[in-house]
Amino acid sequence: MATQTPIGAQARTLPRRIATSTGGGTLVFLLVMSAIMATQNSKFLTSNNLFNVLNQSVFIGILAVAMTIVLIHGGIDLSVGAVAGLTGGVVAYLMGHGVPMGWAFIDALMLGTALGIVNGLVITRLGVPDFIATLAMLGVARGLLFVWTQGVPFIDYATDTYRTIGGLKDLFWQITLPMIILLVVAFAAATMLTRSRFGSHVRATGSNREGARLSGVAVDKVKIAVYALSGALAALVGILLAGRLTTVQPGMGEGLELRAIAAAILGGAALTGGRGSVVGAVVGAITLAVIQNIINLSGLNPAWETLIVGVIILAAVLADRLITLAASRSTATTSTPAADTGSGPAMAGT
Amino acid sequence: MSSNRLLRFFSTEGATIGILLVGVVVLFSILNSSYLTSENIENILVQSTFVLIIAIGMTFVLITGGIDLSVGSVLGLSAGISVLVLVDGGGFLLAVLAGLAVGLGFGLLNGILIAKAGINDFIATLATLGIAGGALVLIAAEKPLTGFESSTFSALANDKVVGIPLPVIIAAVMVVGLELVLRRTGFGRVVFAVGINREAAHLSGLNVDRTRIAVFVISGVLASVSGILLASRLSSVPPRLGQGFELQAIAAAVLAGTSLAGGRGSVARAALGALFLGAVNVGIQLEQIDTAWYQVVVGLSIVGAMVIDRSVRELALSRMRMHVPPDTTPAMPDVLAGAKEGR
Repeated sequence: MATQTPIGAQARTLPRRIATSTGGGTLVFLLVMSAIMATQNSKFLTSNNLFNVLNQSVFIGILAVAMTIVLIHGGIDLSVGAVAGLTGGVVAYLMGHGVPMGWAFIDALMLGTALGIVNGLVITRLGVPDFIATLAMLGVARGLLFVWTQGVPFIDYATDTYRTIGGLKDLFWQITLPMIILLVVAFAAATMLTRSRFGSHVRATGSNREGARLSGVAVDKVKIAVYALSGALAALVGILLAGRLTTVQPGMGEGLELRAIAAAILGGAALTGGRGSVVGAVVGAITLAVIQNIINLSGLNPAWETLIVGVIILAAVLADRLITLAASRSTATTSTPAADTGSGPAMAGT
Repeated sequence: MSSNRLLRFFSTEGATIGILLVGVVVLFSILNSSYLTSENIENILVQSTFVLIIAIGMTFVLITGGIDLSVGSVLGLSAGISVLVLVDGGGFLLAVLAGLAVGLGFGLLNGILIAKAGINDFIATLATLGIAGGALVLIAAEKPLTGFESSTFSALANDKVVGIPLPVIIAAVMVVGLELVLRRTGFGRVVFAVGINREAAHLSGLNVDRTRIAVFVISGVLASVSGILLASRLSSVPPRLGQGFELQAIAAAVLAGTSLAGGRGSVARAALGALFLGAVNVGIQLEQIDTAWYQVVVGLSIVGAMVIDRSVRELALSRMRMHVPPDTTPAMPDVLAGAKEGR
């Protein structure tokens, strides 16, 4: 579509291009929603509140970036919330027992990566579907944290430095360390996906696994690497979350996987693989945080959040389908008459 | 020779889950003599009922190649709505009908979003999971969902008929009835056809869209049946009732050899899967082991069951290949389905 735009008209159509780009609709929605909220509540558009929202969105943001990579490659990782909880527990336990913070972080990252590799191996070597393998890992990791803690939360491990790492203290202005980490992770992931050989292998595997395999991509190795990356980033979130909360409850990170998937989908990722945007995922995570913030500021019951997010996901996906249909219809009239994509068999399932 | 017979037995559909179930029952009855008492068996059966009923609906959806993540939340909301009707003074019949209407409505919504609007099953039902789950919390915040007085409603999940708890009878009737629907009716054959090859089913003139909507309606209605029974059992509805039930239902179906890729599954086997989960859960409670082990065991048995199922299938397939001339390899969609699974 972008190639059809005449060079001189680019500036004029920029908003339109944003709106039709991957996840761009969510950005438009986020801006409109924020604008409306700004007129309704004077507290919303203060720098305090906006930085607070950004600070809240970091955890889902990092997980959504990781999930986007997994989704683009054609998989799904349901274990990230449980892995974040377990690795956060490891950091809290080790620091509570006098292990230096750096070592505790390295151990947590190694555990997260290892659990991700296990996911990848179970999927590739044992032939278990991604959904089931990571669902099983969710149960195992979550269960282990409960068994290990006996339901008693870890407390009294957080140092001042750790609180800063968790984002409880500003570095400068109102910027916290987790915000910078999210920025770095997103930038690295976007560069990796678009510029590196590994990134092109990830995208190729997601668009056409068999085709990628036949052209010499080691699809199994790519899959294991993708899940290892997802596990490592889940551990990073676990580390940050344990610093933010200063206690690790056995249920820490529960449900994060579904929010991360929601953010990735709002950002334009497709569950069928081959499509997704890292920037879109971050926008999706910020959208979820803004919705939560608006509900808090309006004094509504927090349960509205799950309901509204459900409706918004449906709206986003429906809008996306309408745009795709319209696009395929307009290309169909100019090129091929075979555009019978209506509803039915052509639609890919899960 | 005997290894061949053993292989044939193991490659029978449902052998893996049957062996797992027997194994866990034997294990726990060795560990604890009170495990195999009639009282405890009854306990296992009743506790398994709620997941079992939604696992049946999930099986229909999975066979068509779909997935329904909303069943837990729909279960909770149906339970909440029927108790709300009772608390507001509506009668038993109205309460049950209102609960069923919730399941029917969400099932239709899911089906239309997926089959007609072309939204991916996972996303559509993830969204309705959020909507139904949020709605229940909001309703529960307005009004405590407890303290109704309807002996008929309470009887649903607590009465016994000829010594068998009523929910167990209801579940058994559903298993037999819906297994027959799946195996013996034209609709059942269409469900399998859609799951094995949607494009081919469409081209052979089958109404694919209507079938896909129908399985989501079945799943939604069964979720509300389970919710109504659970509300009757608990006589109150906590705001987060049903959360995580969808994963248990998927686990039960997958343990029983239902393929996420579609085309393979059975109601009776899904029931065995749910009974396995119930047997493990009750056994862990009885042994006074930390209940968190339940999640670990379920996670490991899912992968274990899949691996056993798959390796037996591949072994059976390679044996069959040795006995059949290569150019006349018979069509074995059921056996092949396991081998080419994966995303």
